[in-house]
Amino acid sequence: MSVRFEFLGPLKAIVAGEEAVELEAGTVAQALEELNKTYDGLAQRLLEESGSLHRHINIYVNEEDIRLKENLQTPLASGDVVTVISAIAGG
Amino acid sequence: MAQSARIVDESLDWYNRYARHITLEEVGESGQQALGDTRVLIIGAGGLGSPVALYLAAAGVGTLGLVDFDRVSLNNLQRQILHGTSDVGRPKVDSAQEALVHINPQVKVVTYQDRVTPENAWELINGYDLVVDGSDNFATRFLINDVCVQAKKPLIFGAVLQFSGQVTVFTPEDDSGCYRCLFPEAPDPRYATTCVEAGIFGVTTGIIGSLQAAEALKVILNDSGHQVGPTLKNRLLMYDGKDSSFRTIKLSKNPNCPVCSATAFDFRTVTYVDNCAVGSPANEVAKLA
Repeated sequence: MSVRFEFLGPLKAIVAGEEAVELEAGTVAQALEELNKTYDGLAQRLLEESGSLHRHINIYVNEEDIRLKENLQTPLASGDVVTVISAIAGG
Repeated sequence: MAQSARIVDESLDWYNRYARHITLEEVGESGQQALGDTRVLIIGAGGLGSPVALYLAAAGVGTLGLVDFDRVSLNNLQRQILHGTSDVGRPKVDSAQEALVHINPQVKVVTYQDRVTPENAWELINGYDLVVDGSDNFATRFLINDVCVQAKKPLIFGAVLQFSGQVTVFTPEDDSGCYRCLFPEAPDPRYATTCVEAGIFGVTTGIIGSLQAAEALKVILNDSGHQVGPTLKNRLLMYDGKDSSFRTIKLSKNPNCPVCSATAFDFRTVTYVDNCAVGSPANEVAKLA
């Protein structure tokens, strides 16, 4: 079984509008590295040059904010749902 | 005699105007009275502020404060339904006030043709029971959040971009977390896409603004003992207009939040910087000192 990644709102464009992407990875960081091989520019949209998560991007593993867990090193297990969202400010 | 007849007429008008609310078990006469006794500050009389203000006025919220420094532009009218073509060039708060009083003359509308700044935010927000954020840039959103936390005022958050929207409710009084628990700081301006640059599907503001209005009314009613149902507190509702879908994400209070978890936070120590790179006031960042 694999991990399910969901990119919501404007971020869906990163994965070519896909509803969800399934893959196998041990941590969030590994998953992003894997996704970046398929979706050009994904890492740049989500990560700082230093490799840390952009401050306006949130990633949730089974609805838990990874910043309150082990950040990008948060482990993933088969069946996990990873949700990626971005801050927006338009009014 | 004439005066007592007028009082009877006004009372009948009140029952008639709000009859469909009063019929609801969750609202009733006392709930409607609670709405009439409440003061709501709406920041921004644009895409989000329009449906928020229209619905809160129609619902009989007693006092609406409207803050917006801007004037009506033709390219606002695709989504900012408080204003009409003949209003182009007028201050938004003026055309908004006119529209709201037309809908419900029983509502008091107080206007502020000004930006929300660190200098005026405390006085503005403290004059009201609840705040609805319909602003259009990160610096203002962080300022509103920070002041609401400090003043312990409920905040109805809403934001839009292109076909997407987000809504949630922060209630500092019961320590449920704040906007900085969700997003600690504004994006680097290089990544802060605005509606000016990216566009906005007009009706998205109507959907998200209407949800904000609903949450505001529920907060008022719940807080006055009328159990309408749980608000979006601790949940972020996300709307995607492209596939017409709604999703909610559980929000948690960040125990290390520098604002709502701090023992001695003061928004006056924060620098809310206009760091605009493209000439739009929508690109600003808010940095914790």
